[in-house]
Amino acid sequence: MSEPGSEEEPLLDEDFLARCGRLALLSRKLVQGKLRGEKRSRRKGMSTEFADHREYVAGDDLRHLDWNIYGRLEKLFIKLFEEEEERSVVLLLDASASMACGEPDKWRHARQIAAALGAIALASGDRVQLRVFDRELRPEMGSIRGTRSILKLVQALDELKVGTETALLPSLRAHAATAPPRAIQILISDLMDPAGLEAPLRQLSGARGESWLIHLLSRSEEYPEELGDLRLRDVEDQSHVDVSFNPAIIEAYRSILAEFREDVRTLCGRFQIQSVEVSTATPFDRVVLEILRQRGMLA
Amino acid sequence: MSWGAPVMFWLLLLIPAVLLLWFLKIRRTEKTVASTLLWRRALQDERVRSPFQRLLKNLVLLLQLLAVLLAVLALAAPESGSQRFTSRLNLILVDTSASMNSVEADGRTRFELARENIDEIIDEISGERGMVIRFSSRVEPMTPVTSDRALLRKAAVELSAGSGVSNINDALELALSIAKQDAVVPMPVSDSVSEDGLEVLDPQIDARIFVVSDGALPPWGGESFPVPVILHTVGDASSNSGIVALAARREFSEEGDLRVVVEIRNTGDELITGSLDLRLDGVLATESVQKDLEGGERWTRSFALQGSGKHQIEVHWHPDEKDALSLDNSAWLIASQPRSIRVARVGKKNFLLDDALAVIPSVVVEMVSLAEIDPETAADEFDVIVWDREIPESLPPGVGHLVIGARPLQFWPDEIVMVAQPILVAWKKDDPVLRFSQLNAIDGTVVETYPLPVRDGVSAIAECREGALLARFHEGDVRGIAVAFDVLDSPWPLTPSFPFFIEAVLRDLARVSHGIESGIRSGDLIEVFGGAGVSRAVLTNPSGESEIEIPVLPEGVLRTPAGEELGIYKMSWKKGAPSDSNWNQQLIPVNLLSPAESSIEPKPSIAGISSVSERQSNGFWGDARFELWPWFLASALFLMMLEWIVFHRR
Repeated sequence: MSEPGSEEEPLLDEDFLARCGRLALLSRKLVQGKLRGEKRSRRKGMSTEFADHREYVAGDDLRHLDWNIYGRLEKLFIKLFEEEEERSVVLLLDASASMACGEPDKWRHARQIAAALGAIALASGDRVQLRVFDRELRPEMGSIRGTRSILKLVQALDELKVGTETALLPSLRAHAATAPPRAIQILISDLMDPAGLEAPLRQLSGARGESWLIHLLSRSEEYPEELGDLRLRDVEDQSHVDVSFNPAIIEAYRSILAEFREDVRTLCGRFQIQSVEVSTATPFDRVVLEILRQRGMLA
Repeated sequence: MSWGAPVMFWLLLLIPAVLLLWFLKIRRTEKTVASTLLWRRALQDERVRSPFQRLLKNLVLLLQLLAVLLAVLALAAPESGSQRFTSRLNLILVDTSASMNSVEADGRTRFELARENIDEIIDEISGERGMVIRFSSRVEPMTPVTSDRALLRKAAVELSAGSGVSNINDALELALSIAKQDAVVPMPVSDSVSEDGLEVLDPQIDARIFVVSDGALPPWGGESFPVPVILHTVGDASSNSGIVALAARREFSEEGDLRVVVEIRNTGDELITGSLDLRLDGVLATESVQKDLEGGERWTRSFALQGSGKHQIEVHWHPDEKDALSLDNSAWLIASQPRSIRVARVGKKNFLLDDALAVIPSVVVEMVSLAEIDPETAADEFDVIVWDREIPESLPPGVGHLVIGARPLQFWPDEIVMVAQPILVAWKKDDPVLRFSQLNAIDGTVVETYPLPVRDGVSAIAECREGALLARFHEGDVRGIAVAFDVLDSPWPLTPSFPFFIEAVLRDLARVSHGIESGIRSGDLIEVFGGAGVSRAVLTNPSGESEIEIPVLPEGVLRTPAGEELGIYKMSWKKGAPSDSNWNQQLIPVNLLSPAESSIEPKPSIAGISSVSERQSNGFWGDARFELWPWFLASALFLMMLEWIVFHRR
């Protein structure tokens, strides 16, 4: 029998999947889909559900004139109907080597969150696309939809391996070029990119859709408790830094970490990205079922 | 600053070793992290916010290096001042003679007062160099020249007053010699250097001599004194009386056969009353004699005793009121029956020599031929062999030889050119064999002689220009006196000095005294001739409390300095196997008998030494030289403690 949270344990269990079925990703903006789906789009069109009126302009379809209003107001108004569209959810998963570091494991935590969000999206009829990157965007696995694709998604996540160093900008730039319009793009990453975060996050700007960031750090990265003289080696670029752990240096680290998070929050605010700071110290189901719901991302 | 042991600077190589250890010590455990990005920023931030932390990190290494550096500097024995500077030399002469035992009014002895003076002097010479020399009958340096005042103080504490007489002259000569050796040639000051770069400067003595004494000292007999002599006089008492002379002689009168003469002197100014006892072998020999002595009065008292044979004679002076110095209130001597000298006379008929031998008391002469002398038994049979114009090729060992008109080939194997009527150019008047003899009779009157060349083992007693006419020879167990001419070729045997010379030679070679052993003074050498074959010798002090083994010198000579205790010492020795229980003994009286020591009145100066003003120390010559290594070592220890604290606080 495998230990809970171990690599042998499935990323999501059936019980959790059942609970996911009652949830849906809550978009603050309506999204446009190619097919008529369950989600409402702001695109007003030929659907049967009334949405609003507007004044008639030349060229409008006369069949949609509201004669009742014309009778009362003697003005021509066109009836607008909401077009029901299916929604795209893009799971952007950071698979750089840094994600495999830390205690507890960030990599498993990230895949579990991705699987949960993907399952919720699929269960609510959204189209889901998993995009994995490290130094660059890996080949796409294609969009999936329907509850029957949940297992496929989970299996794909389960088989993923971490890659090499992080390069957010080229990866997200490549994603932005091919991202479906008005999709919910969810970035799950530790954001450990020495090249900086402004340009990469700009690629994820929420102006073109809904953008979420799940900033994931391990407990040991949040609360370092090492003692003595250590040589810390970067798992990605193999550079090192000599640190003599003492209360002063730990305090300085925490201060820098707080600044780092504050910078991330500022950038997210600027680029209309909803961000959530998540620690591996928090179980992933609690992250999904409580934190994301409290933040209004799930309903 | 100068360095006493600059070779220790090699130890600076320890500094690279410390650096190596430091780098080995901080070898870090490696740990893989997701990114070093935040850690780099944190380190940078921490360094900016807490620059002291960075310093603290290296502070441990810095402290270790400083500690090593200071320890090495301490080992290099740093001293303040430069090599060309020297600190003043202070020679502290401490009188430990008998008079320093005088008891003052407060019940303390003068030597106890002297100790306080020595302490004050040692305090006064702080930063300068000093040396403690004790003097009584002998002079003995107690410390080397040192700036270690603790060592000087320790030497002073170990000193005590003895029973000898003050030999200030030897002490001053020794001190002056040390001061002269310490003189340095001053380095020319740059401004005064002549054009050729040379400047001749005389050596300068920068020394003082402190004399801590009661001033009961003989006058200085040397030349003018170039070094300041500062006398620290101790004591006030002046009232004392004591025995200053004791002598005895054999005589044959109606009153007795032994006469003892005692002289007592009141060296103070006040009247002293006392009684005099004379004891023979510990028993009162006469009734005590009462005597009032005025200030400065001398009193000589003679005793006639029935005392043939061997006796210990003691005299004790008992002042009615206890006087300041008790050491001079007793004296001892030994009266013994002189033994006969066994003399073998070898050679041709010589009635003048035979007559001389016949008139000498306690001499038994046996006429023997050359062939009858057995070299192996001669030492047991005879004390002296007189060879008159006949001599064997090799003289027998262990016996004294008087060789007349011949030369021992052992000492003079080469032919010697004859000299007619030689003129005497020198003779040793103080030699025991010439003490009662005049040599005018042989000055240019000897018909012919073969002067003996002086070489190793030979010393001339009387010599002409060509060599010795009378000579001592000594090599191993063979010793004697050679007369380099036939006495019949000179008028000498017809003069009274000839039998005196023969008697003195026989007593000298036979080593026999006149039967009265008046003894020696404290500190002088006790010398006993035990004879050949002595295997062990022991000296017992007068109280019988201690016995010391005496080394046996060649020919059985037993020699050792007398101790500080006055009285009769006993030298015991035995011959043959160590298990042999037959001990020979000789008693040796050790007395004070010194009018100078009995005169205890303190004197403010030493007669004969003109006052030399004390030169003040100046910047050039008087800079004190301090040893700085304790400060360096203490600093190194302090830094090591600091390093320990800093290391653990991290």
